[in-house]
Formats: sequence, C-alpha cells, structure tokens
Amino acid sequence: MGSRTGFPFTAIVGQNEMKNALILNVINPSIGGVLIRGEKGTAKSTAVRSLAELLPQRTVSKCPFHCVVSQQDDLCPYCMESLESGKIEEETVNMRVVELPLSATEDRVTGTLDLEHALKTGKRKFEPGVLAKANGNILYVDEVNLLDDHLVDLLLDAAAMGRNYVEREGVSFSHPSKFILIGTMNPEEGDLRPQLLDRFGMAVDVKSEKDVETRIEVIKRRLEFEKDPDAFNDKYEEEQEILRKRMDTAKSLLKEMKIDDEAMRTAVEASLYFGVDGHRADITLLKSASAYAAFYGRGKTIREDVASIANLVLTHRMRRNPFQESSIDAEELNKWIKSI
Amino acid sequence: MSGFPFSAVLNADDAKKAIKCMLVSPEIRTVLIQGISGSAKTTLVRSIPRICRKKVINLPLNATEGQIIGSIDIEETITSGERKVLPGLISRADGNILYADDANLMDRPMLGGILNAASDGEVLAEREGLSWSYASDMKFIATMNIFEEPMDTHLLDMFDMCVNIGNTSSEKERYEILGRRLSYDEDAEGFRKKYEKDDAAVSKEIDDAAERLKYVSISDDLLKVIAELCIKVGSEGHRGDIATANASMALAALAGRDDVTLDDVKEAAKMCLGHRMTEDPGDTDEKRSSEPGQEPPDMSSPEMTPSDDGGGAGDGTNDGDQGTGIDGSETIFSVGSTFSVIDFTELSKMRDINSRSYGRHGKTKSTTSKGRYVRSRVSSEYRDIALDASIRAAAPYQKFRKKDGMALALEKSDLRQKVRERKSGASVMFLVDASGSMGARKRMVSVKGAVFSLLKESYRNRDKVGLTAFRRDRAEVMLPFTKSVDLAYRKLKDMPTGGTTPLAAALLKVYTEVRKEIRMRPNERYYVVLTTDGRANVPMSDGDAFRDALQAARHIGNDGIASWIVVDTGTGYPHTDNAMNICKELNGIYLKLEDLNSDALAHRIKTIIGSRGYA
Repeated sequence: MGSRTGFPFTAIVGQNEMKNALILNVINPSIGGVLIRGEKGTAKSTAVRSLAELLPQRTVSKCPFHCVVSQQDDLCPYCMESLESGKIEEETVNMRVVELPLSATEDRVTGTLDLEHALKTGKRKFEPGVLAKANGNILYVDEVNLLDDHLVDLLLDAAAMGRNYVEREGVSFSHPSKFILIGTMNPEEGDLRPQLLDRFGMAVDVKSEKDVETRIEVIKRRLEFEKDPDAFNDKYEEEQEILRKRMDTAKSLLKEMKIDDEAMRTAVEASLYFGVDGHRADITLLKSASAYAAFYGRGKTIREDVASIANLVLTHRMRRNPFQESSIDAEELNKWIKSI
Repeated sequence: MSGFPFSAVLNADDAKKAIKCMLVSPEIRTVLIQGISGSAKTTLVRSIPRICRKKVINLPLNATEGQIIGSIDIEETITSGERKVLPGLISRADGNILYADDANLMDRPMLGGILNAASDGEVLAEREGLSWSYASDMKFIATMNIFEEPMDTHLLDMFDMCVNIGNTSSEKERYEILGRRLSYDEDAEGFRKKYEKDDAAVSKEIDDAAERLKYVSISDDLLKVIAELCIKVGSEGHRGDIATANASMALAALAGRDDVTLDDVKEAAKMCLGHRMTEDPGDTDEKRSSEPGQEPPDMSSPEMTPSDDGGGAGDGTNDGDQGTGIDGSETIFSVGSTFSVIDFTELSKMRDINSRSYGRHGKTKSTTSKGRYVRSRVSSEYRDIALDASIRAAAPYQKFRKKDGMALALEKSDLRQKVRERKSGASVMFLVDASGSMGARKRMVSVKGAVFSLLKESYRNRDKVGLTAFRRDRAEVMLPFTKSVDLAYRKLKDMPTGGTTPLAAALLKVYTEVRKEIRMRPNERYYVVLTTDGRANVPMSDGDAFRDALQAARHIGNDGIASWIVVDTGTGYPHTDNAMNICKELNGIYLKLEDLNSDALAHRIKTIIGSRGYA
C-alpha cells in the first residue's frame, strides 16, 4: 500500500458530502471527477491525497501509459504494435493520485520530444508527460482555479477526447488519457472557467465544521496523527479495510446493474426542474445515482438515489449566469426531493 | 469501426445537414459547429467516419506551426545531408477531414492558415531553409463552446457554414438521449449494430447526392435572392453568397432533386449567413423565425430586473433622490435596473456571437517561459530554447560537422528560441465616485448599471477587475484585482453613496494599487475606468481640492502606467469642465454619461478596451 504516512481517509471528521463524492467517483470513474470548493484548511487536499490508500488495483499493459488491453480502440501506439505482433504484456498496478502542479510547463503536461534520445541518436522519440501518468488514475489539481489558461485548454482537450494528442516539436503521437479529474479551490481567489467547471461531474462546497465538539475532535485527531503517524494509521486500518471492501463490492454490483427506466426519468426530470442545459448533467446524475445505490449495497437504482446525489451533480451546473446570488437553492432542492 | 453512430446522435439536425452538405459538395470545405458544452459536438464529428470513407484527423490545441504545415525531417536530413520535408497535419489530412475542438482557443494566425489551406487546397511553405508547396484536398471542421471567448469575425467569415448544435430539448428527447448514451456505454458493439443500417443509409444518401450534384442547377432568380439576402444581412465580401449557393445545391442533391428551390436557399442561408450577419434585417428575417427552439441561452440579465436586483437590499432606496445630499446620509443604489448589456434574446444567436468579438482582446507574446509554444525564432539567447527547431536547423550540416563522438553537433547559429503566446485578459480597475453629488437624479444607478455591464463582459473574458470607491475623506480599495467578478458585483451592489469628494486621494490610491499589480504581473494590460463629476472638494492637505486632483492626474498621466477612461457624470447646469480637465491630464479617453445610456457607455468602453488589443 505504499508508504503509509498520510492521514487516513476514514479519520477525517465530518465532510461527508466531500467524502461521498470522492468514493462514488472511485466506484464509477466515468462520473467525471469532483471539484471541491471551500475555504482554506477544510481538509480538501488531505482528503484527496488520502484517497490513494483506498484505490483499487488494475490490470493494465506494461507500456508507459498503462493501457487497458480490453479497450482495443484506445491503445497507445506501442500496444498497437505488440497487439499485431502477438500479445500485450500485462501487470497489476494500484490506481493512484497523480498531481498536476500549477507551475507545470506545457511540455510536461502533454509530453514532449525525448531530448536525450534525440541528441544521442538523432531520432525522435516521445517522452510521456502528466497526461500519460494520469491515464486510468486520478488527476489532482490543487487550486485549479489558478491554473494557467493554456494548461486548462490542454486538460479540456484530453478530457473531451479521453486521449492525449501531441503534435509538437517534431513529435506526432497520441495515447489514451482517461482520468478522474479532481480539483480543489478556494472560491475567493477567483472563478473557474465555465467550460472547465462543466467538465467536473460533481462539485462540493465544504465548510469548516461549526459544532464545537466536532471541531475539538478534528484537532484531537490531527494532534494524534502528528505525534505518531504510523500508530495513527494502524488504528484506522480496520476501518480503511472495511471501506475498501465496501467499495470493491460496490464496483462489482455496478458492473451487473441494468439501466433503470424510472431512475432515468428522474434524472431528466431533475435537470429540467433546475433548468440545467446540456446532456452531461443527465448522464452524470444517473451514473452517480447508480454508484450511490451500489455503495449502499443495492443492485438497482431507485428515484431516491437520484435525489441523494442531485445536489452534488447539479449545484455547479445551475450557474449559467454570473452574479446569481446563490447557486442551487437548498430549499428548491429539498422541495424537489420531497416531491418525488 | 469504433465510435458512436452518426444516426444515433439526436437533436443535431442542422449540424448533421451541414456535415452532409460538406461531404456532398466539393466546394464546401469548412464547417463550424457551435454549442454549449455537453451538446455532443465532439461525438457527432467523431462519428463522421461511420457515414463516409473519410477519416477524422484530430488537431490538438498544443500543435506547433511546423507540425501543422510540415517541417524539416531531422532523421533524413542528418543522414543524407540534404534537406527533406516531414509532412505536417495538413498533408496527413489530404482527402480526409481535419478536426479542431475548441477552435476559438487556437492561435489566431494558425487557425487562419488552416482555414486558408482548407479552402485553397494548397499550401505554400517557406520554413527552415526549405521552400515547398503541396496540395491537400482536406476539409476542416471546427467546434467551439459558445460560453467561451468568441471567435474573430474575419475568421468566422472564412467558414463556409456555421451551425448551432442542440441546446435543451423536451423531456422526452432528453430521456431518449440519455438512454442511448447509457446503452452505448453498456455495450458499444451492440449499440453500433443497432444503428448500422441507418448509418449505411446516410452513407448511401451522401454518395447518391454527390453523384447527382453534377446535374443540379440553380436559377438566376434564386441567385438574385441569395445576393439580395446577403446585402440585407450585411454579409461582407462574397464568401457568403458563394457558400449559400453551394449549400443550396447540395441540399437539393440530398433531397434527390435537380433543381434548387426557394426552400433550399432559405435553409442554406440559415447555415451560411448567420455567422456573417452584421446588420439586423428586422422582423421579416427568415432565419430567426425558422429557428424555433434554438433560442440562445438567456444571458440577458433576469437579475437586473427591479424585482430581483439584489435580494431587496437596495429596493427601498433606489426610487427617489432622497438622502443624496452632502449631508452624510447614505444611500445604496441598486444596480441600474433599466439597462441590459446586450440583449442576447433579441439578436439571433450567430449575430450575437459575432457582435461580441470586439470584447476579446490580447493574446500577448509572453516573455516569460510560460504560455503555449507556438513557433520558434532565431536567437542568440540561451533561454527557453526550442530544441526541436534547433535540431532541425542543425540537421543539414551534420554530415560536415565535427561531432567528437556526439550524435549531433549544434552550433550557436542553430539555436532557436521558443516563441510563446499567452492569453492576457485586461485588468480593469473601476474607480467610482460615490460622493453625495453622484446620488442626484439616479446618476449612481446609471454608473452602477454601466459598470455591471462591463463586469459581465469581464466574466466571459476572464479579465481581472477591481473596485475602488471614494467618498467622504478617503478612497477605499473595496476589491483589489481579482478574477472573481462575482465578488466585484456584490461589492458594487452594496456600495453606499454620500459625502464629499476626495478626488486627488482617490487618483493616487488607484495609482498605487495599479503599480503594485504591474510589478507582480507586468505582462497584462491595465485600464482604469473613472466615473466622476470632477467636483473635488477634499484637498490633500489644506490647499485647493480641485488643483490637487489636477496635480495628481498630471503625475499619473506623465507616468502612463495604465490607460484611463474618464466617464463624466456631471449633468445639468452649471456644467463644469472639471472631469474633462482631469481626463486631459491623465491622457485618458473622455466620455460623457449624459450623452450615453448605460448600455451605450458600456459598449463604448468595451470597444476601447477591445480595440487596443496588444499591449
């Protein structure tokens, strides 16, 4: 499980919405990621990084891009070659959290010409970048609202295509780049570009806990962790393992799940009720709802599942206009949930 | 073959029609598809190989110029010592379709070059010591998100056709779309099978139409209709006429007819002229009436109607002139309720997108090593070296150079530096006179309305905005430069009015604030929009208040740190030239609120900011 010096996910106090959003995305990576908005010090980054310990294993090709061999439309050029000449070698790896720092340069994001190789041999070769590492993993951008525009463009491109196309510095290359995009941001430091906002399947607003008892618990656990990280991790290992198993079960349940007509209608109703444009919302609502159902051990998605996750999916899509006082009306949402 | 079936994409009738026209007619070479995100733009384009024999070749945003046009082939050149060409994307797209997602975010000269190549079918290249030209029968499809920055009008004009892809649809349709998507995700192969027949039928329809097109003719009368229509909507140049004629013929062929009908022309005009409109042809416009359900998303501002102008915070106080004297009482004026910025609902969608293009400004050449690498240039600096270009420059000489065991010998003359480009929004500081005299006759309402209009534009362009207000004895930076336009709006809405006018102090305050920002971000363009009546009455120490203000303005004007726009809010009698004189000292642009309503004012300011594109 790697070095276990991080804060365990299950030890984070409260913030259930955020935790749920993260878990649901791991259960169903096609939900499209989470944007976590909140003030400083609300355990946003801690939660995302701690997710690493809960991630499942994947069987993938041994190439630098970790292609999924069964998805033959989506292989990298190396795997295509191996496929033609026989068999693609596979290995089992842990899904992981790949971070994209704000200071990243474009060539490191998309990948670039392999300098050494070019100088030594005079031949061109592609050197993979962050988008390659992110394939099949979680791509995490802290302070995503401060990410430079031209880097955002690259992310959008890759997210839209599920593939990273590189046409630069004499290199023409493409490889799969399907990732769960997770961003954290402090809204006071600026808005997110609407187009990028829309790419996030879910958005959560986190606030610091207002209850005194809870706050005390937060401090206590932090202090305990700082004193002896390993012991602290050991203490939570059982809980972590339970969660891992539960997510595993959910994943298998999800695989077997059939599309539910009623849930589908509910999803469309919800989008229309809140005036959300585009079809991404409908699809995300349904995918999230079925992941939610699976997480609660059910093999069928019901209307209530849609209602439970509607807030996560719809809030950030409501704001087509700047300057609207509040995004989604909590009351409106409750009203709608009650109406079903 | 992989991908979502063409026939299974719903709610995209116009886009499908445009694509079919393009596949039928050899003369229709470029198509732009606009839509909100999640409207299946990409899915549709990627499904094209299922209905024809063409491939869709992806043009990523990160593509460099050499990679698109073609460049010197390093391997070949090194080994042979002769310059050889490595074909670029345009060559590779010969006979196929080149596809650019988010084309509005592309480097403008690059997009222009591609559009030219697509319409001419030929490229002339002068690069890296090579001169060559080649033909490429490539078609070009671009998509763009209408919520992102608009595209330049002259680039728009280069697209033969431009269509919108479906926005919202009925509940039934949405349900159907969702269902199709989910069953595709569940079993792509099975789903494709289900639509195989439909895709094959479309494919045949296109083949038949392409064959028939040779026999399709258009009458002189209809050509006259087209010409008149183009004049009426103000389509500049002749591209619009020609595209409409070609599309009409393609539509007739698709319908299995040899004669073009008036309906064909109408339909073609909808797709070929919308993005070329510069004039509002009035109520009789066919295009709009024929686009029900294509209503643009309502970006006009419902929140600016009086009933909704801020949760009622200012409701009780905005309908009179009470409490506006210099007696110190404060009034919070609502954000002008009578103004709308650009009434998006009144304009047809295409024209709307068109008309916004003045607002988009600079992409500046970035001098730091940040930004997108677009091309390279000869340089003797060792900074931010474009290795690929340097190697290409050195390649022809490798045979003759001493290499000392290295595979490649680079010399100083080979060095190429990266030219990077970075989008720079404008940074606009609003310096608002909030003194008591501004309260009279709802002047503040107009000012707030105008500033609000500008804020909306800033939101779209991701400009930075700041807000400084001055009244009583001081100026206060209510909001330092931020990208959170939302915050600026809230601050503006709640900004109280009343008290005296410390103009000199305000000028100096903003000067300091802007300087601070410039030190941190020197590559941006800075504007200060000052709204005042110029009736300064608070001196810096104990001199004359207005003289102090003039002196401060002169100092700032000499420094020339930002572009100033002064909006004179003085009205009625006696009119003073105060604001104008301040403006002169600032070397600013002078506008009078009296002559303009909020709308026009906002528009003027936007034009000024927009037209000074490059810093």
